[in-house]
Amino acid sequence: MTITIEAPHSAGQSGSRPLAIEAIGLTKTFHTSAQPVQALAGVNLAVERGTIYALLGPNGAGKTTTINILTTLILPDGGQARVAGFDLATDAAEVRRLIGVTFQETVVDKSLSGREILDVHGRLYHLPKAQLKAAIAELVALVELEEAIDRPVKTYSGGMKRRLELARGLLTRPQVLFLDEPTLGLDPQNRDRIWDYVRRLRAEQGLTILLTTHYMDEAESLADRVGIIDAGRIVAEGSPSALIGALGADVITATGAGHTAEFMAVLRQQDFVAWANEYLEEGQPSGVQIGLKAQAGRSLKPIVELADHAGYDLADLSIKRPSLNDVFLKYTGRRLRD
Amino acid sequence: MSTVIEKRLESVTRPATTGGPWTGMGRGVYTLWRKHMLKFSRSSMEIFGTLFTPVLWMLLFGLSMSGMVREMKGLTISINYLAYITPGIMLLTGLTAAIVGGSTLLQERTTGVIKEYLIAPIPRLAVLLGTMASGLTKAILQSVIILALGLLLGSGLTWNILNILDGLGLVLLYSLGFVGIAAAVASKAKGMEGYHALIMLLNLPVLFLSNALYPLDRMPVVLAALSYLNPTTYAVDATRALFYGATTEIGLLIDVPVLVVFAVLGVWWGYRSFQKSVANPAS
Repeated sequence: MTITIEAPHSAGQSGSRPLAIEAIGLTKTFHTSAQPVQALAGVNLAVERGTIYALLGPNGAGKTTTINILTTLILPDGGQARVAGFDLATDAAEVRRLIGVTFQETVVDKSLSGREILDVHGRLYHLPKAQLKAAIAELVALVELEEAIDRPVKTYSGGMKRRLELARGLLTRPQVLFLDEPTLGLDPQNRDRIWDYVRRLRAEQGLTILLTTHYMDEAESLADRVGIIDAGRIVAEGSPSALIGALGADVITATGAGHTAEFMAVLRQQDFVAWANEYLEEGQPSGVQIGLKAQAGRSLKPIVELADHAGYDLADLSIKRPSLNDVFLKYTGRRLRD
Repeated sequence: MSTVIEKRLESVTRPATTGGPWTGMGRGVYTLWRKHMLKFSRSSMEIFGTLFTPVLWMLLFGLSMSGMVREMKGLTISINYLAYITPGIMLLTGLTAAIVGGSTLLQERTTGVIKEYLIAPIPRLAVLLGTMASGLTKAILQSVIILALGLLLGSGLTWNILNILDGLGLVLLYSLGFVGIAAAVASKAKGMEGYHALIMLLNLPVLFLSNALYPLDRMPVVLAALSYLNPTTYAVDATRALFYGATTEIGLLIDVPVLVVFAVLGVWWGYRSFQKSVANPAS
């Protein structure tokens, strides 16, 4: 069950923008030699045209599987999806012509030059020569690779390869762009560049972008909507500010050990506490997250006393304005490690 | 307003949406063939690595044995020894080139480059056919180099253009079988090491368990029997006759159908394994 913050998403009925991506109940199980692994347990998605949607989740949550299905690389076991208005099951060929993709791992042939890689891509999509040449020139300028474009890709840095892949994904003027962990392993400077390109693409060309990330700040600063995905399900969805706002005023994170259940029980009886959840770190109980009500006032002292009373050994206590990190922790019960 | 509409129209009617499945197939095969050949032309390792062993065979073994064989009595060799071994060495070159060419598929699979092709608007079969086409081109190119080297070293040639073309056609069939086997193994292999072990594994038996270096009637019975299971034997028998006018040990009427069957089986196996591997390319 997906928790949707804000008004429920009912595109089409309420006259909002048409959907570029819609998926209902996508399921996928991989049959490995050891045991079947359920990658998707019913993913629902609705991405409005011209928006940036971030799928946020830890490794193994189902982000890449979702992208692989939506880009026609693999078939789902169950469920339905439409991308750029075409059904994946019946019109995969149409979908392929209308989307651009960058995969999680860098996939470029190192012995070819950047220009040759773009040229091969354009030929696969049957772009006319003149149009291909113009598109390459335009995109190479966008991703600032003018000087390196005729050099073999093996001389490129990781950030340059990423930018080349972004140019490749955009070469066929897609309506929907899929970016799987676009800034994974990049230095801050290259991350900023990629973010900048992504924002410009949305603003200038009205492109719809679905990106996956496990960086909180990436989702928070880029996305119009964020879907938190965990164990093959989207567990919460909304705009970053709405998701954060729903947590309440301030969030207290208490680490420690002891009678956690008792501690949480007494916390939940307090009128300044909106909610309290235990969370895990690396599979081990690690602490308690406490959402405060808006007019909570001074709450640290009572919490210390309550912990003492309940037999919970406090190790550390922090209070701050909630972030997407806290949103993630609340819905998955786990910290997302960068 | 009108520019907005034009932009819309452009995106709907742009060329990528034209053309049926066959133009997609042709475009895909040609684009991938072209790309693989471009990579091949830049990879001195692939070119010289493939040619190194055969050239050594020709130079060291071929030249020194030619002198010795001339003095041996009762050999059923109707042509000079260099011409006698050139077909076998040439086919070994074709085999090695086919398998090295197949590693392109393995490399593209393990690095993920293949995903770019699999979501492009081309049939998935085009990825296999493009790879096979480039593997076959490399095999033929390098086989012809060995044929020319033999000529330089004094093997002679029949200079009958039809015979030469027929001979090259059989080299093509023989290589095609191994191109298929290479595609099958490349679709299943986990990494490069195991794959390269395959070349080493095939190399020597292909030469020694065949009539490539010595006639079948001179071999111990067991080895001769095994040689009849080796497609190389039939390819050598036929090309030796077509290129150098040697008398056949088996006969073209058997050689040609055997090579056709070998090529079909190889390609079929490659096709089956490839289809299985792309059904779940992510895993």
